Amino acid sequence: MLTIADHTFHSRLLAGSGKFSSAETMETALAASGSELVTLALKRINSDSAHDDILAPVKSLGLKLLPNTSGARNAEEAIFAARLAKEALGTRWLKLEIHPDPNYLLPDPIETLVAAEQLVKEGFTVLPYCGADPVLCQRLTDAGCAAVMPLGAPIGSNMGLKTRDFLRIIIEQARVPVIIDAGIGAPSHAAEAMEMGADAVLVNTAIATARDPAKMAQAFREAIICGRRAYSAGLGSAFTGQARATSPMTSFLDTL
Amino acid sequence: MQISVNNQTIEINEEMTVTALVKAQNLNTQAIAVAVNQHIIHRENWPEYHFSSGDKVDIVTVVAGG
Repeated sequence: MLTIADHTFHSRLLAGSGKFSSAETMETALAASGSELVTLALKRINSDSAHDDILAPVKSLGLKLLPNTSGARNAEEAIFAARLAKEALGTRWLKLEIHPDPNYLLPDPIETLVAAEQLVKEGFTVLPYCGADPVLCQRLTDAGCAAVMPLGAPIGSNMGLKTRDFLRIIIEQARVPVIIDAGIGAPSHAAEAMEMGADAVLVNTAIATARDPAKMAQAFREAIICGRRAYSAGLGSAFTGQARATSPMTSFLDTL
Repeated sequence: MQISVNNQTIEINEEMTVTALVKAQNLNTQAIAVAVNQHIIHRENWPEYHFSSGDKVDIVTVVAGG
């Protein structure tokens, strides 16, 4: 069971709702993922374009909503987006993300901390997307964030856990759930994150852009369960030097 | 008078409320939020809220995202 703030989830897979080819594909994949928490974004309405009814399929699955502040370039914009999200959806849960650079979409640590401090004061349950910076994760925790969401690699890159050494430190020091977000491109990446002791992972692109999103969602679901089980079982220590025998080192070969 | 709605200037009469604006824009009112000059206008206040000339109105809704 995964507990974030006052809410307990059976699934340790958080799913993103972006990039799916259709609402039907998204609904099928989300159902297959077993996820209970799904991210959404906000957008200014254009009355000339068709209304994107994302809520109907999400609500039909009974998922908890996690609106994000994607597009915010600084703390002020993110705080405004958070207030709009609360008004639109009636939830105080928020994935806080601030990335001023449109090329790499790397989160701004200073603006993220400033926004987190304010939003926590306003009663939001803040889950900040952030760099894999152990000091920043501690500061976000001190600010009252309900979890931290360090990146494994840039958003949408599918590169896996490029920040693994720092993620290990973040996990070791964590006082709130650690959710690895961004860059997870394969179920093996998710399994690795869970084996390391991450509390959950958030996956979007890897599922949404798969040839068969529902099948990929199922693969992630199983990988996360396996990874967590391995972590719970206690992985054997890894050695980088000499081999260590798994059988008795007898001398019978010498006698032949 | 003129106001800006999602960065587009429109002409409205002085009696127009948020409720009337949303209706005039033919918007689905489910899961939308309205802000005037960056202040959220709560849904229950839409029927009574009147705009001032030059107001900057943001109307947002929920879309897919990661």
